[in-house]
Amino acid sequence: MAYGYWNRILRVNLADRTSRIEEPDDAFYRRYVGGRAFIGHYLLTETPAGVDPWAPENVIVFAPGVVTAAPLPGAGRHSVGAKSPLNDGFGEAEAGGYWGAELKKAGYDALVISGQAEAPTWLWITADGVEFRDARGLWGLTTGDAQERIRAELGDQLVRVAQIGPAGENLVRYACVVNDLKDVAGRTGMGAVMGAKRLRAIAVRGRARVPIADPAGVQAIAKWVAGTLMENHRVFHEFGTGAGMTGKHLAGGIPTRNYQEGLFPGVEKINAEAIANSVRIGMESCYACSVRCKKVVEVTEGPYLVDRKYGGPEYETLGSLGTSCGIDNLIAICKANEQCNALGLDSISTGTTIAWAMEAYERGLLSAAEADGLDLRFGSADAMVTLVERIARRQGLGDLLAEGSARAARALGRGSERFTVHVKGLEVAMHDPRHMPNMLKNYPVAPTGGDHTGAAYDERAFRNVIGLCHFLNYNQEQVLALTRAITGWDDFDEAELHAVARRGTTLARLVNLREGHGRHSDVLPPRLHEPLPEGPLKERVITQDEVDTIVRDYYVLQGWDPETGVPTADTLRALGLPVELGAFASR
Amino acid sequence: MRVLFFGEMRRHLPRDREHVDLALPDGATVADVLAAVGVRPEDERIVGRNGSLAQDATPLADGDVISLYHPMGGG
Repeated sequence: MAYGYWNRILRVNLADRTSRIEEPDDAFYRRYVGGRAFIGHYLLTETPAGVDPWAPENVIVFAPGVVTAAPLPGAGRHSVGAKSPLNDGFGEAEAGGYWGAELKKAGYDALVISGQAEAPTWLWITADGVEFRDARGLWGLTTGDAQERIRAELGDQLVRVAQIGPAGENLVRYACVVNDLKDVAGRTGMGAVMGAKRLRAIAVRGRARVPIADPAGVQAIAKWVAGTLMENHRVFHEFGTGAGMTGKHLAGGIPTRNYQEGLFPGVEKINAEAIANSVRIGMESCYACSVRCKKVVEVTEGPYLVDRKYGGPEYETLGSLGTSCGIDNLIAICKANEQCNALGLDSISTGTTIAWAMEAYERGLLSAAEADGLDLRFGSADAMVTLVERIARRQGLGDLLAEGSARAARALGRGSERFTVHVKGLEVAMHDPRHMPNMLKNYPVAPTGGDHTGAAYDERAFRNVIGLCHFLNYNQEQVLALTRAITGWDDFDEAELHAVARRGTTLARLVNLREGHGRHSDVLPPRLHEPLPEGPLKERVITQDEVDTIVRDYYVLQGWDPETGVPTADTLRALGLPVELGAFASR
Repeated sequence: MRVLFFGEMRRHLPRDREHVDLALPDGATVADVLAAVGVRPEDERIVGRNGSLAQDATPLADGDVISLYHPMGGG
């Protein structure tokens, strides 16, 4: 008997409105395990080279891992992947919450969707199968309104809904997938891929327990989290993300005004402590998690009303829509966060693209008319909030910004490309590599580009494969123990952990190589090679040699060619991957 | 002097406490504060002294407020 999975992958074709169950075998699960590796496998085997992200031939994969839905803190994660319309390569985003666990509890290890619906469609998934439902009445609605209608139509308030908002419908290249209105698979434009497929939402209801090999072993680890909460997860439990942001400011490394600076004295007005003391009305959890790190905020009076149903801002949002835009107005940031979730936008790319536009405006490269008359100087909270909605609806300047900062700068020209802050087209998250060596090591080589999860390296990469939250302070022994307890793979050891992680990373690399991202894409943007003008880090300059060494060392670590980054035949064989994939990728 | 704990550094803060008050001898430095609250030399941290960045060797004075931060990761 299999543990941790059902040996059932749900395949949906939107073009002919059919579905089927794929039953790979135990060897498939032991090799690929879930998450990132599932995504890489399906992109390599089922999409043609150079696939247009908008085309029916692109597939979108919703991939929990073997850990997802286990009764364990951190087991609420799943990944979403496709060819990305933002980075033009490997698209991948992870989300917490409940949706991935619900899919598993409905009896499916993953959901792979191909084709394009003739008219707006939503899917209703249960253990009994898939229904294709008419989404024309949902098109254009906020996520909140759409979820309400879906739940009313099904007569079930506990249905979990993954969906896009108007941003995904309008093919904003960094549109996200919003789960339960607040848990988002944010990065690389997966919501835009759903939009291109005219797939508005996926509602899921599951009631089965995924079989676990050693329930007592899993329970022991879950009890360890609950019993040591204040020792191991205190800050997440009390504040969530964004606590202690002042430290980044003191160290001179908080992304400020489009990464031009590293000091932002207003940080104390917008950090998680300020939120706890003002607009926060509670904390919520993800599936089976005792840490409860998700802020809920509400504002009921003043110029910006903020609806509690959309959760609250995480650190990345406080940075991207706050410090990076020069904004210390907490209520405005909370409003923009609510709008990102209601309209379906990745807050990191949204804020970073707006910050780029603000710099272009201040430098006189974007005229007042081109800015639709908005006061686009850094610190303009009203303009920032206004732009969030205009981006989602592709109105005015929002239409240009909906393309992402890299494409927007190419279209605008005038030297504005020099200060875009992206890697491979994905806007860099809110951790300045001039301050954080681990981010310096991650950004150039992360499969998706400017990723903040550190998922280029094995420990983090493994979590993106098995479906385990990065915030849980499990050590490697515990991660191995929980993997064994869930799956029953008693001989699963540290060497296999590394192999599983590298298999996922190598599959992602092969997708990127096939789609044109080679050595030339593994870089930092010019802005991050500039010195900071003030503060403790002003002498710190990241040289090209430094980045070149990081990239080369990483290729060697992964078993890829040290010069080109193409996985060697020996590495592919060792990982149990078809050697032909390497030849194909390097053509 | 008073020690405040932010972000991940709150794991060094005793339960049900929001700060720690220390009495250290003359000539004490930031390193002495770190040792007193259980931060190991190899632990990542950012230290503020009265709102400015401080180093391990920074000398302390009566009435100082020491703020401990962690160079937080993503989220």
